[in-house]
Amino acid sequence: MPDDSEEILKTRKFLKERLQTDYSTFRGHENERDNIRQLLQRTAEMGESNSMLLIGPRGSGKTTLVNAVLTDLMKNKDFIQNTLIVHLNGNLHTDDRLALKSVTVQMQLENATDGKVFGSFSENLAFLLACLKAGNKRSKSVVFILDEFDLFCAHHNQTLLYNLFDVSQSAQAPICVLGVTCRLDVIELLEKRVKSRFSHRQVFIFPNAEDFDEYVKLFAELLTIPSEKQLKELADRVGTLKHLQSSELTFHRSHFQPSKYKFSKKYMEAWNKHIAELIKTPSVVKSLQALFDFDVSQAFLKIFIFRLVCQMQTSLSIAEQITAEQITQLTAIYEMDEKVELLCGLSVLELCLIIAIKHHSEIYDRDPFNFEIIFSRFHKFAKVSSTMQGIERPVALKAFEHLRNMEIILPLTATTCKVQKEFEMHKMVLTYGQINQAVQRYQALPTEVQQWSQSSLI
Amino acid sequence: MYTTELLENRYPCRTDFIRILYCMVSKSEENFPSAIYISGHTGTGKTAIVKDFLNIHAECENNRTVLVNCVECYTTKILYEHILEELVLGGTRCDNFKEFVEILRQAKNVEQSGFVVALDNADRLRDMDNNILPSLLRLQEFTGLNICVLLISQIPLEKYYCKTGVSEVISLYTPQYTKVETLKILSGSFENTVHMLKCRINDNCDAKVQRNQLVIVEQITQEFYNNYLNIFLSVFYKACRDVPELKITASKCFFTYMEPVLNGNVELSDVARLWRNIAVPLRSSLSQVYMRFDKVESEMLSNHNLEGNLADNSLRKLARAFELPFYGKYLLIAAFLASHNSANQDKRLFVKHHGKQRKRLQSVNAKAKVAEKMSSSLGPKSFSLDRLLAIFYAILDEKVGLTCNLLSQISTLVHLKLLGFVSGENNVMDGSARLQCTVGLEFILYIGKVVGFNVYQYLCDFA
Repeated sequence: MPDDSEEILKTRKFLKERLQTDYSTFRGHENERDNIRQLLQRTAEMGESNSMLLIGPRGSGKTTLVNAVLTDLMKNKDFIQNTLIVHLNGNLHTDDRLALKSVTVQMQLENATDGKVFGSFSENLAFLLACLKAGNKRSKSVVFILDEFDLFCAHHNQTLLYNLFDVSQSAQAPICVLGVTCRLDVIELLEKRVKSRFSHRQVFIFPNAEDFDEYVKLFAELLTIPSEKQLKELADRVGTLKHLQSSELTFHRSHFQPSKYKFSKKYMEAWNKHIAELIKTPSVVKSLQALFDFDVSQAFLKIFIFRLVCQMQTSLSIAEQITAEQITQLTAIYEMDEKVELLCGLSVLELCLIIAIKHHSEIYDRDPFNFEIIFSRFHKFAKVSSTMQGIERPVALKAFEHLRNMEIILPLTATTCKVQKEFEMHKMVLTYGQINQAVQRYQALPTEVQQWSQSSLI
Repeated sequence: MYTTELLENRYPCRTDFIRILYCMVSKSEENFPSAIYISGHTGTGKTAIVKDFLNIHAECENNRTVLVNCVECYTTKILYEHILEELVLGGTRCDNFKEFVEILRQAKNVEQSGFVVALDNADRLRDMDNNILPSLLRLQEFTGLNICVLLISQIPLEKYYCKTGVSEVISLYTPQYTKVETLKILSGSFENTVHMLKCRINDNCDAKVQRNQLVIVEQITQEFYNNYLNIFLSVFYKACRDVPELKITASKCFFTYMEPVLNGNVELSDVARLWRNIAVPLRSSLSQVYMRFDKVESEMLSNHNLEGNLADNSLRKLARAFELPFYGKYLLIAAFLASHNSANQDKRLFVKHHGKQRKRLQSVNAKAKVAEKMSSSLGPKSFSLDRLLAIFYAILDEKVGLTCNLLSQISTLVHLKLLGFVSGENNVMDGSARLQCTVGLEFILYIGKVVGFNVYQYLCDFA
């Protein structure tokens, strides 16, 4: 059906875009969300200063939460007029000089600071904040969002953090410092003088690891096409983002635009019915359970669904689009052990060296080894075997170096040219289980090698 | 679908990989994933496919693509500028990641299209600044562009995990080719090999011989070549699964395989005799795999019937090639003994009346050494210059003065890389320099045989 194929193309595009660039839809954790919103709102409206840390593991949606709160607040005219948002990322702003420069730009104060010489960091920052006050009876409040907060702790003397927290403590200008990090022990990283100025307000978000039904529901939600009404609601919410003026934040510029899409009602119902049936299939539930056991974060699930959506093809009908087989196949990829796969791709010679290393480690209780030791062990086996005869030293050395390049074995110390490579000590980074598994799965492995792997006696 | 078919033809047995790559990163109007990590063994077509894919990609659609090798870009600055040069066109200065992101953000205003950045040898990123890997994985979020980062490397993704973790990545694995697949790929180069064979024949001068040989070459069929490949793989496959390497070696050995046929000694159909002829050269070129000695190989092939042990032979040749003087040889032996014996055994080994040794349980146990703890497998230890000279005088029967001629022999040995400095390279004169002997036991045994010295007698491990 030609009209269907067009719709499917559109669906794929829609789903992909929603998965990748829907930066501001946050689900659950209502309390935490309210908490942060109120904090920002108070800073904007009452001119209170504050500081807070948002802590949660990777992929739990910290940044999304902040984005969602900002999107909510963008409805508020007062908030837009009264606040400046300064966004810093620990990965981008790697030192305080860069950070301060970026702060200046984001406050649009480059002209004011032009040609001025500041004695210290705090003077500079104080000047910036004072500029906001000038000409107005009420100073604009500033919201500092520090992404990857733990990285700022590594800056020299923690100058930026000290000054920000200092301002937030004393009543100079209303600022709110919101740190976002995935390190639970981040407080311990703060210097004493910095720590004492921090308000110790911490919000933790952890992904929900108990509720599997919720996970399945989320899976379905990320795959279904919303109705026209839902689309409109979404569009309204996202529409407010155009008020957000920030050069550093980019999520509002590339944000997914629901208003661009329109699906025919008949098609939408057919598609949603297909998805609803899909999540009831036992094999899908089993796969999802496996994924849930690996990783409960939404980011992980989104990547999984993205790979599924990529497999959609316009030539097929709706019923053949996202199938249970595809889901089980994709889950199998996550279940495989990359190192065992890697071992199965080695040549027989390389696998023999691995087995020799295994025997050495078993006998000498994981003592380090060098090429000489392993080669002499391998050589003993090769002499009596029918298949591995005639392997010369240089070829074996090359195989040994290949193992090292693959980082299956690692040198004990950083490379020094003082030691000849045959004598450099290495350690193995595999478990015996992985080796046994690889030996079993290896295709067309000579029987004698297999037997040798079981027992080091020749 | 045109792209995938083209690539599938060019890279057989990689259909799945190409399809997956294509459906994730192809249409610039759809969103790209933020990062894809491609891993697998060397020679499984990771870089080649991505390179061709990007080229086609950049031509067909309005995309900007760049492939960077991280080995070439040894500092972050070079890396950023290299990427920017291709992506935003025109040389720009860029010192840190902040500026890099800033410049890319401005690219959004210019045009709406997809960007792909591919980084080969991505494992090198670990040696660069700490922030670069986590930031690259979130480049899409930072820049707001439809940008995808492809990371290509040999090692699995788990080797990258840093302290606070990195964001989720899609990882693709290119499996090693199976034996059947390898055979299929190698047989694809049939026409190429035959063409090269013809070129080789044309280089020969004699016109009549040329004509005869060309007639024979015309008779070579795909089946014949596949037969040859089967023989070839039966020898090589256990030691090497690297397809590019096998490809080179296979076509090289094919010339040797064809030699008796071209000379008229063996019929083209007589597979058994052909096998008998090629078996030995194949085995000898197995010892050369990855080395690509062009000349040595032909030399070896010519005298393979004369002597069996190739490695031994070449070692002897090497030892002869140095043409060490008499004292130089003794110095080298002394150095070897110093490297492989512990200093507290010297008295017993080299002094004539060293007194009676009391046998104690401790010393008996110490002597019962396992192979792994012997010095031959643990490597040479360092020694001082004084000890070297003392051993030298002990093993040499005649009396020689300590002249500068003798001492200059030591520096000659160092220049020949037979000895190496471990420390104190700059203060040889005050005696704090330490050296070690870098040659193996076989080499020393040969030298010892030349000067009539029994090395075994003076080695603790063998005494």
